Amino acid sequence: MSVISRTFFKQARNVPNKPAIYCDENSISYEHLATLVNQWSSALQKKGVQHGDHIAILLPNCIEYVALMLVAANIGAVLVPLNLSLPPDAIRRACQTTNIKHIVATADLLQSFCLNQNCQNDQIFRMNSVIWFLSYQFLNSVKSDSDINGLWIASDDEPFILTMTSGSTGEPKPIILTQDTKLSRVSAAVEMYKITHTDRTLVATPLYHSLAERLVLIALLTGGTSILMPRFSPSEWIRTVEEKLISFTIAVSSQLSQIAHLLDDETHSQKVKSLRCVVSSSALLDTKIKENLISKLNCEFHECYGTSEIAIATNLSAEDAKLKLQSVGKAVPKVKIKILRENGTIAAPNEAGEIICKTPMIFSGYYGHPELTKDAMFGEYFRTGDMGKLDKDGFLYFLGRKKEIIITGGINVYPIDIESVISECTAVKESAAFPFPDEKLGEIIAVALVPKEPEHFKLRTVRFHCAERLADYQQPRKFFMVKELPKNNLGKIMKHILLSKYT
Amino acid sequence: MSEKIKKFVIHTIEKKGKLPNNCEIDSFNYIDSGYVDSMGIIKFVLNIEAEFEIELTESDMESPEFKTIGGLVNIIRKKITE
Repeated sequence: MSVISRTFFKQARNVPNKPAIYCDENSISYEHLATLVNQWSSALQKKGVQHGDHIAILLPNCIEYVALMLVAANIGAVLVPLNLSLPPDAIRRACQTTNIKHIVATADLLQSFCLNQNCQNDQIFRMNSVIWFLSYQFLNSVKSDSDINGLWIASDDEPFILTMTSGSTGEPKPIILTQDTKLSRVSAAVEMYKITHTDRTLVATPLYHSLAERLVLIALLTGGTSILMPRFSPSEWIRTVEEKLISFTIAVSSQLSQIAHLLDDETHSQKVKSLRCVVSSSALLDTKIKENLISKLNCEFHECYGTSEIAIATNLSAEDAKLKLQSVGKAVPKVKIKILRENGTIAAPNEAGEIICKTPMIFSGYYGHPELTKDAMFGEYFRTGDMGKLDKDGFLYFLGRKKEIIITGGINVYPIDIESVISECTAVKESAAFPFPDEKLGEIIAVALVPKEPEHFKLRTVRFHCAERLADYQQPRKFFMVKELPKNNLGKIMKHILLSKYT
Repeated sequence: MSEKIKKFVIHTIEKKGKLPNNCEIDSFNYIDSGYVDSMGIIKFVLNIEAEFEIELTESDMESPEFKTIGGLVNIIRKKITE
């Protein structure tokens, strides 16, 4: 049995009656969650799920989602969590890229994505290959085999979760995370933030984010309680912290920026007194918001820097923030950070270059893309594609991105994905997507576009086309109509000119 | 007409999960309760615009009325009859 599975079942034996997860109006104890994991492990086996099979998950945040993570760890299946706002084409592409054999989804969701027009419980349906639809009704109808634990010896170094990210060419670039990797990410957080069984951990992002997956595992593997928010809003976050006496959370920086505004009101700041430790992740916090949060939350506060491929690379504690507020902190234990010059040599202190990182928490490559994986490495170091510098005390400063990317609400968006969808509109000659600063989401997507016939051009057509073809997080929020795009002598669009002109 | 609009609005909001039992539908704030978040708002608005062939402006979206189901139904109804 894998370490994740073994540790969870051990906690279930130790604290059977303790609440393991709360979500909305529902909750489940450790004992009942273990029973559900056993039952569903049996159900998947009866359905023909084999060791190493890839299972796509199209579910909102719910207790069953977490159960499926533990089932996959138990039987050695590989989960591929998918963003619910992806359009049907993108879901099909993701399923093809990751060789999905089974999908677990609510019938409602599956039908709304038009994956199957006549989808019945546990009916087989076809895309390019045969894919099984595993309904809740089916999973719940199978009786558990008592000896199901360790039915397959899931090995810790085999893929456990494929996290979908987009590549700079617009193709899906799934990140392979093994049970070992997930576990070392959990262990690092437990050690760094001193998490114990008494902590009540809030999960406020969708479970298709690797951050949310890590947070539920942190709680379940330490015998703590996980509180899963089905939806996020800043006021719901504060209400949940107060109602469920939350002590620990890692939140996306854009969520914390929105929460910080509400905390200016003392009636709200009084409601978050149960918090012991809060961590900001995914993108840098504005310095003023960081100062405000540190004073209003009145608990241990950390900011971390990392990427999906390496998890947390650096940590800035509130104590260090007093002296190095502009920094993203120092390398966390067992992690090494260096700065790489353009010529492939290592930069001196305070010299800018690409941030590279050696860590035991590293991913196991991009699924199906060995060349991309090779290109992303510099020896044992992962090339983050971010620019930065290290000061003489080892504090890292983030200076921007080498890769052309927009980070909105903590999610990476490649401009090429937006531009290629807009290029499908016949009324548009060409377009360029670029980041636009936003108070709520950190950055939003702006598009400069050149209409073919400006006098007849209707922006609504482009907006509707984007709504149909792009996910929620990829929707452009601002459009600028221009006569031509700024280009250099080689014909490359100079986005920095768009940035300085419009932002 | 209002009932038809309300039905569509509720259906669209419930894509993110069922509304709480026994909630007061008209005054239910679907923004503050996270049913439509900053990420999902664009598609949500475009869905409504397409269904009722109307256009919602930024000032419509910034009004307090927009945040509640009853308020949004009113905005849509006014736009249709304009």
